[in-house]
This record gives sequence, C-alpha cells and structure tokens, in this order.
Amino acid sequence: MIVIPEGDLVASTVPYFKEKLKEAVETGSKEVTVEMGNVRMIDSMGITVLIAAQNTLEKNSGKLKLLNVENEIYLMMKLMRLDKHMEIVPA
Amino acid sequence: MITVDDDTLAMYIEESRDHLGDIEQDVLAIEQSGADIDENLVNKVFRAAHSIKGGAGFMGLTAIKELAHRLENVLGMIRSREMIPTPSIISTLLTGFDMLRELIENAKKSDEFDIERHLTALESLSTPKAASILDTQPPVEVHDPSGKPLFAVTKEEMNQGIKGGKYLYLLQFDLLHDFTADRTPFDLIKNISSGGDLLAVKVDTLAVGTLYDGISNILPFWILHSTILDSDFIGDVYQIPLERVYRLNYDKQAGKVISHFSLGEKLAQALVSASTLTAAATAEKKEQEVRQTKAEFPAEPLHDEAKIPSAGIEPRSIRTKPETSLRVHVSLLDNLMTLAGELVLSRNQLIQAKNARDNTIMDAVCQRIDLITSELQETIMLTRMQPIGNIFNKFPRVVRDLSRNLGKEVELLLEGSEVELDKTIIEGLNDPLTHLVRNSIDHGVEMPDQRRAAGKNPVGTLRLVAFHEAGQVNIEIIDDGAGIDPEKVLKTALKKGAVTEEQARLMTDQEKIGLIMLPGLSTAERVTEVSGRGVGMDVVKTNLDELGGAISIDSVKGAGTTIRIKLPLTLAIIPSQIVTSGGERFAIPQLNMNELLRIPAAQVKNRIERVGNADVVRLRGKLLPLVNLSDVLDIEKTFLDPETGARKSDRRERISDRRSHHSNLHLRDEAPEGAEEQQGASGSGQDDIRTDRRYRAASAINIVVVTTGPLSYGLVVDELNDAEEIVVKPLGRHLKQCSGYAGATIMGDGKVSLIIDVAGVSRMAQLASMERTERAAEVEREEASRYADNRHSLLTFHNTPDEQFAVPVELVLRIEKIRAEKIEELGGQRVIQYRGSSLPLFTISQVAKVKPLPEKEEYVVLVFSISGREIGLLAAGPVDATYVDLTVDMSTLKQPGISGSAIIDGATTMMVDIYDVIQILRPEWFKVQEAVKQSSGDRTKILLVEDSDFFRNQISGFLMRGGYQVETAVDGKEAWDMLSGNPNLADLIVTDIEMPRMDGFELVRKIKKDARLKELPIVAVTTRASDDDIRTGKEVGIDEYQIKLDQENLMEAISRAAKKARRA
Repeated sequence: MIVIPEGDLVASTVPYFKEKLKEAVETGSKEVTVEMGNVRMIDSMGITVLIAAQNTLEKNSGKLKLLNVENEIYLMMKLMRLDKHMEIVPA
Repeated sequence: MITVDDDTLAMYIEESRDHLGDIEQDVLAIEQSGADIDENLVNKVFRAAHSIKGGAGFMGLTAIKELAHRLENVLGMIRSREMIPTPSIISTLLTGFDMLRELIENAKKSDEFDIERHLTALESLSTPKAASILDTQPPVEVHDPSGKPLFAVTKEEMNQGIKGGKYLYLLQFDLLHDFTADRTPFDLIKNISSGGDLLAVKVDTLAVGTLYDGISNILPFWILHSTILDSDFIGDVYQIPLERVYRLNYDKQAGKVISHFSLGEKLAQALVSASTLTAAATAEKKEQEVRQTKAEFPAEPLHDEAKIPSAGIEPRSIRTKPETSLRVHVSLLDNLMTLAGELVLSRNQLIQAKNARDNTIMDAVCQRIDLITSELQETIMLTRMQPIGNIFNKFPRVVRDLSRNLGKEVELLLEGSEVELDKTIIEGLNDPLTHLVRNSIDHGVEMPDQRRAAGKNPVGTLRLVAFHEAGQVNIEIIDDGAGIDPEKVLKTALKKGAVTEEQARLMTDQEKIGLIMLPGLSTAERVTEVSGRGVGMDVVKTNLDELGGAISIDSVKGAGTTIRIKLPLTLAIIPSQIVTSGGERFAIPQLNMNELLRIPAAQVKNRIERVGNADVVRLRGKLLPLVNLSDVLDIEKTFLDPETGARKSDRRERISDRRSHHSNLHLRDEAPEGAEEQQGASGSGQDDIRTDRRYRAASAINIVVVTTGPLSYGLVVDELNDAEEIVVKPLGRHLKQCSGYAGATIMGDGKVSLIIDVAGVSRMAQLASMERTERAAEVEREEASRYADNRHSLLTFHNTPDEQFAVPVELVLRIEKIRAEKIEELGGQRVIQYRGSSLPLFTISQVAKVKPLPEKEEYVVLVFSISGREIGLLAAGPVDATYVDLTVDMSTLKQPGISGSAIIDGATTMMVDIYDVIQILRPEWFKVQEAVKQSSGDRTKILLVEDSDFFRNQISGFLMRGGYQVETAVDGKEAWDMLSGNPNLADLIVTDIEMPRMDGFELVRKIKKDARLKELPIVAVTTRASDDDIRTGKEVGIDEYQIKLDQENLMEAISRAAKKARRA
C-alpha cells in the first residue's frame, strides 16, 4: 500500500495522515510505503506518527518504507537513527 | 600569576572544597579494600584530583596544578592496579591531599608554598610503567535510568569521550515538547556537535506506541554526549531541565558504565549494565557503611615509613576555617520563598486593616503573622542545621593517624552521623571533640599487649555516638580502654593544690574523675605528641560552655570511659530569664541558669553571710558566692517603691547588709559592717530611715543561681521578670571589649537588652574559683560534712509545752487542725470523721510514759499511713518543720514508742517511732508481715549500709521486726571490707547512696565485679530521686530503687529481693 501525503507532515495534518496510515495498515498489507516527495517539512508529531506506523507494522513483521525523502529531512532521520527502524530512501 | 577575576577564583575554590570534602574517607576506604580495588571509589578520588588540576591550569595556579597532577598519577596507578595501596602509600596520599587543601584555602598565595617534599614523595611512588593496552573488546552498553538498553558504543569511542577531563552526559529530550519550529531536533544536534562530541543518538520509538495507542505524549530522544562543559552549564546550553541530564560514570578499565545520576536530583540512580548488578550491591553496602563508618586500622611499625620521604605523620592542624557559604536544599529555599510570600500578603492585609481600623481583621492578621513567623523561624533554622557527620567524618583519619603513631589498634564506630545541629555549634564542636577523641586514644586505649594481658580484645574500640534527647543533642565518646583512675587524678590534684585533703576525703569517685576538668591537670604519664600540649580538659569544658553545652565523664577503671556532651540544637534563639538591675533589663541564658532564689527580708540575716570580703548565700548546705550585677556593671542599684511604684536608688552597700531585728535606731550598732552609720552620715533624716525599704518586705533579695564551667555563683539582681525566648544579636565592634555581655536582643517593646555572659561577669567580679573559694570551701566543707551525714527533715510537736516530740517529715501524710468537739469516743477508741470515713486517733501517752495531752479546744492531728491504713496522732501545737543536724541518743530516753532523743532548737526532743507505736496499739495490722516472717524459715540476712545513725536505726529496727537478721555498716567502705572478708555475710544488701568515703553506686559496682558477690540482690534507699540517679542505679546493677523513707514500699521491695536471693 502506498500513502501519499500532499504536503508537510505537521501537527495540523498529522491526525488525517494518521487515519490514512491506519487504513493502509488495515488492508493487511505487510509493507506500507509513504511517498514523501511533497513533504518539505516534518515536525515532531509527524515523526511520531511515522514511528507509530512502523511500530504497528512491526507487530505483524511488517515494514514501513519512506520514499523520496527530502535531503535535510533524510539527514535528520539518519541522525536520529530512524533508518535503523524503517527503510528511508532519499530523493 | 593569577589572571582571573576574584569571582571565578572564589567559585573554583568553593568547587575544589567540594571535591576535597569526602576525599579523606574515600582514601581511607581505598586503604581498607587494599588489593581488592573498588574502581568506583578510586575513580572518584582520581576525578577530584583531576578536576582540581584542570581548574588550576585554567587559573594559572601552578603549585596546585603540579600537586594535583602528581596525586592523580598515583591514583591512576592504583586504579590500573599497577600499585597496591599500602598504608604508607595512603599516608603519602593523605598528606598530599592535606597540602592540596591548604594550597586551595590560600589559593592566591599558593605558589609561594614549598611543596617540593610532597612532590618528590609522590613522584617516587609513581615510577612510570607501560601504559595499559586497549584491545578489541565488546562494545559498551549504555542504558536508560530504568535499565532499558539504549546504545552500544565502542570502547574506543567511550575512552575518547572521557579523555581530557570530559564528562559523559546522557541527555533525555522529548521530541514532542522540547522542540518548536524555531528549534528543530536538527538545530539541537548541530548545537550539541559544536559543544562536544555526539557519541550516540536514539529515539526510543517503542515508547511511542502504535497507531492504535493514540498520539503518545513523549517521544524520548536520548543523546550520549561527551563535553568539557560542567554540569552547571549543561542545562542552560542545551535548554534542558537538569532532571533529564544524567552524568555517566564510565569505568575505562572495566569498559562499562558504572552508574549515572540525574543532575537535577543528584540521586544515585539504579545502575546501568546488567553486568554491574554486583556493583550495585557494593554501592548499597557502601552507603550503609557511611551511616555507620567502621574502619579498622592495623598498627604498623613506624620505621616502615622512613623508606618513603615525608610519608610520616606530621602534627596537623585540624582547625578549619569557618565556612562562609552554605549549601541548602532547593526545596527548603522554595519553602522559604512561599513563607516570604505569605508574609507579604499578611503585611498587605495588615496595612489594610490598619487603614480601615478594623479590629477583627487586625486580630486575624496578627494571628496569621504569628503563625507565619514561627514557621519562618523554624524553616530558616533548618537551613542552618548540618549533620554532625560533617565533624564525625574527620575522625576515621584522626584515629588512623593517631593509632598508627602510637602503635595502638583502634576500631572506630560512628553512630548517628545524621543528627543535625546548628552550623555554629558544629563548627565550635570540632576542637573539643578532636581533643576528646585524641585523649581517648592516647590515654584511654591501651597498647595491644596490655590489652591482651588484661584479657581484652587487642583491638580497642572507640565509639562516637550522637542522638537526640529532650530537645538536646547528646554526643558520647565511649572507649573500652583503661578508664580513668580516680585516685591518680586525685593525687595530681592534691599535688597541684587544687583540692585539700579534707575535700578529697569526702569525694566520690565520680567527683574525683571530675577533677580533670580543672585547669592544669593532666594524667598523662608522659607528654606525648598527641596530647599533653598544655591544652587540657578545662579548655574542652570552656569551649563547650561557650556552645551552651555540658560535659560529664563516667569511667570504670579497667573497663573504659564514657564522655557525655549535651548540646542545645541552636544558639541563635535561646530561652532566657529576663532580669532588671538599675532599671535596665538584661537577659540571662537559661542554659547557664540553675534556679531562681528569692530571700525574704526576714531570712537575709540567716542566709547571707560574709566570708572574707565577699558575700555568700547558704543554699542547701552549700555556700554560693554572690555577685551583685549592679556592682559589676557599675550601674545604680534600684528598687521599686512598693507604695508609689517609683524607681528609687538602693543604698545598701553590701548584699549582707540587713535590717536589724527591731526597726529602731538605738540598735543601729548591731548592724554589721557599719552600713547604717554610713547612711546616717550621708545626712538622711530620720524620716528617710523610717521609710527605708530595708524595713519592708520589698527588701527581699533576688538571686539568679548560674553556672559557668566548674563555678556556680549567685547573681543578685533588682528584679526577676519573665522567661522569654530571645533572638541573639551580636554586639557591635565598639562593644566587643565588654566582656560582661554575650550579645544583645530586642525585647517585645522594641528596647534593646544586653545578654549577660555569665562567665564574663564572674571574671569581672574576679570570682576566680580557686583563690576565691579557698575560705568559702572551708566553711562549705563543714556545712557539707554535717549535711551529708546527719541532716534530717523533722516535724516537731508537743503534748505539753515542755515536752517536745519529733517524727521524720517523710512519714507524715498530712497535718490537720481539729476542734475538740469533733472527736467522738466509740468503744474505747477515739475517732474523727475524716474524708468520709473514721480516722482512729491516738496519743503518745497511750504508749509511752509521757505527760498526757491536756484538754484543749483545738488539737493538731498528724495523719500517718501504715499498712495501707490511716491513723491520726493527736497532739498540740506548735507544729514546726525543721531541717536539722541530728545526733540521736538511742539509750537515755528510749522506751516503747520512743526510739531516742535529740536536741532540736535547744530543747530535748523525743523521737517518736511511729511503727513501734502502731505495733503496740494495733498489733493485728502487722499480721501479714508476721506471716512472712514465719514462712521464710531460716532468716534472711541483710547487710544495711547507711551513714546516718538515725536512718540506720530506723531501718534496721523495722527490718528486724520484719523477721530479718540485720548487719550494719556506716558507709560503703566498711560494707565492702565486711563483704570482701566474708562473702556469706548477707543474702541481700540494703544501701544508701550518698555516703562519705565510698558511695552506694561505687559499692554496688564493686560488688557486681566480684564473682562471689555479684548475685546479691541490692536495694537502694535514698533521697536521690532524679531520673539520672535512678538510671545510674539501674546501670550499676541496683535491683530495687527506693526513695526515703516509705516503710511499706521498702519492706515490699526487700521481700521481693529476698525471694530472689533465696532462689539464687
């Protein structure tokens, strides 16, 4: 399953994004991919929700994949060692 | 050269003091563990030296840097196990740290100190060896405070992280709350990277939960950071609360993180790696040990130390500078802040109430302010409280050095280190306690061979105990050494002329031991390096007096010495007695005060006397020197005119000046010292004399009996006012030379009162105890010897005016006056209705051949209680209570009901034996006791030890009537001689406590030490009824403690003890 956010992942957009992620997980798909090409900015809520998605998938030995991650966001996630938990592909 | 500003230097010094604070204990603990090195501990000391070195380098303090560097080197070798910390190495380290401390205390001049000796000594210890090799080892695991693994970092990385004095911090951020658009985690990471090395980062993703857990509150974001930043800065630099900053304690050698603690709470947290569980156990154990530090120091031959330069123990000044700053717990400050806030609110309310003139609000506000003030006082007091451990902790070192130096083995036990005392007291305690501990080791504990020979553990024990009791703090210094030999002290005292032979004869052992508090008495056979430097127990006592403390010594020869010190909790606010002299109010600290004495005008003649050129007052058989406060302070004596209420000048020159019996000028010459002539000469008219207050009740003398050190005296003041809690304010510099004052205080009405320094006043009055009391002591001795022997309280009464009788006051329950018509005669027995029942009455003449009681309108009834029943003795007045020196003639007038006779107030007086009287009149009352007599079969033998003839006869009389066989002794000494000659002399001892030559306590101690006698039950019969005495009694082994003289209780106690004796 692929989820494509249309803009930044910040506090205001996160609740909706979260529902979409849930729907994606509930399809039973082992791997959920987030297309990050439109995301220029991500805040702590955004990160949290991504991690929550990963945690959920991990329970069913699934995996979260981030595609097309903007460079600065990618570096930060790497610094946070998030690349150890999910697959992060830079733009 | 110092290039930094004073503030920075002051901070550095403060910090270094902190570092050095526990060093001594830690180094000693390192010595204890020997080859089995506690890395944690060595690390701690190492780091202290290291931090001091780092700071010193920054400040340009070369000497400190050098010394710290060498110390660090040696510690480094101990840590790397290249060196085993032997006692001599430890000594070198300790002296090195001592020097370091001194350098730091004098930081500005530290470069001028000669530290070469220390440097070479340390250098010679640390011959460089190959550096330890780092091999490929498993990564170091770092855990969060709850024990969850966070990172695995290579050893290499960790080692780099602590290189060059850097600290390892574990920072816990929260991705959800700590960051904003202006401050992204990325900014933080950049920030951290520039402040030091970022070793590892982890987002604890699992803490977030899943999509179904809702949006979580915290996303923990852990950062392992290595930096030179001090813990003081870290919170500000990274904008993180200190509770979430953990400092890691990484052990390079073991390659693991040993502990970490939150800087905010400064609490040692649970430990990190699973492999350090054992370390946790050790740490816990250590903490317990700190509470009861137990350090055993092996005695090492001294010559060993010659090998290492300067490792020997040098006499070291333990005197520390009073601290100028104080660490206070933040919660306490918060509390104070809250209270201050409350106070401000109340003030606002008060102003409002005042403006509105509303009394009801005013009352409420006053109450509130009162409450807040008390709470504020208590809280502020708490900030001054410090654990006594601050001083106690010095002693492991003192004891170690001393015992090594003297070749003794001493085990030191510290108890109650957590007991808190006012800072000022803690500081003042340092010297006296050190002296006492030194004394105990030097004079108290014997050499190991001697101890072995005496059948004791060759390792002596010294206990320092602190505990709270009755609003005071008690400190005990207990050793199990040789004890103090009272005779030896006495001999020295006699040689130095501090006491006379006669005085000595009457002294108990306790008193003899107490003599060592006199100036110039030292029982050390030789002057050692340690003690005998001319600073004796008198100085200790003076020091403690200044702190408002009291000291007592208890020693058993051969078994040890216990020194007890009682101290107040604080000195800032003290309970005081307010007095007036010369129209001014003064405060006398209650700690110095024994009692208040008011001598009515009529008794001045009998109670106050002149000895030499000084006034003394008779107080319970002792002569107390008197000092007139007005004289000492050179202010005018005044009194309040009872009629007008005006304050008038008091013209009495001496306290002993008194009115004559008749207020008649013709008898003037009877007045002593010519006081009245002087007055006449001063031109006062006759009218003036008639209104002179010496003829009035107002001329009573008010005396405050005070004690300072060994000296008690009476301070005569014009008026006694209230007792108040006063706040001590120091005197200004311009008043510093006024030795009569200890400070000042502000009274409720806003006026200033001076606080009397009791010791200072005695000095000003030249009341030097030795010379001054020489003559007084003589008189006192006469008084005391009579007093101790044969003084009794008696009640005298009559049948006819020419026949006087007496009974001991203690036996009389009540005295009643009855009218003759109230007496009923029923069945040949006279009774009165008394308190709802019939009280049988009798007269002496019913039993003894004395003149019968004449018919009168009014009689006196003395009510006695015998065998639980009350009986009245019918007599005639006047009834008088006297306290007399009594020599009872046991033969001349003896007859049934009369035990003997004595001269009281010039009249021959018959001593009524009330028990004998009742036995004759009402033999059936004693049936119960008779039964005991028969059942006891072979009669119990009692040794009665009593110095008073009167009591001895009384007690032995009713003991024999009770069916016992009685032997008597006149004092402890005689009793002891009798018993040691014939151990089977008695089955039971009945003894008085206060006796000449050997007192009751001493006798009991001796008995309990004698294997043949120690099972003997002991009953004490005494007038000494204070809790202290009873406790002492119990301690020495008295089975029953009876207060003189209740025959019923005594007989019961004896029969209990007799049963015990038979069982044994």
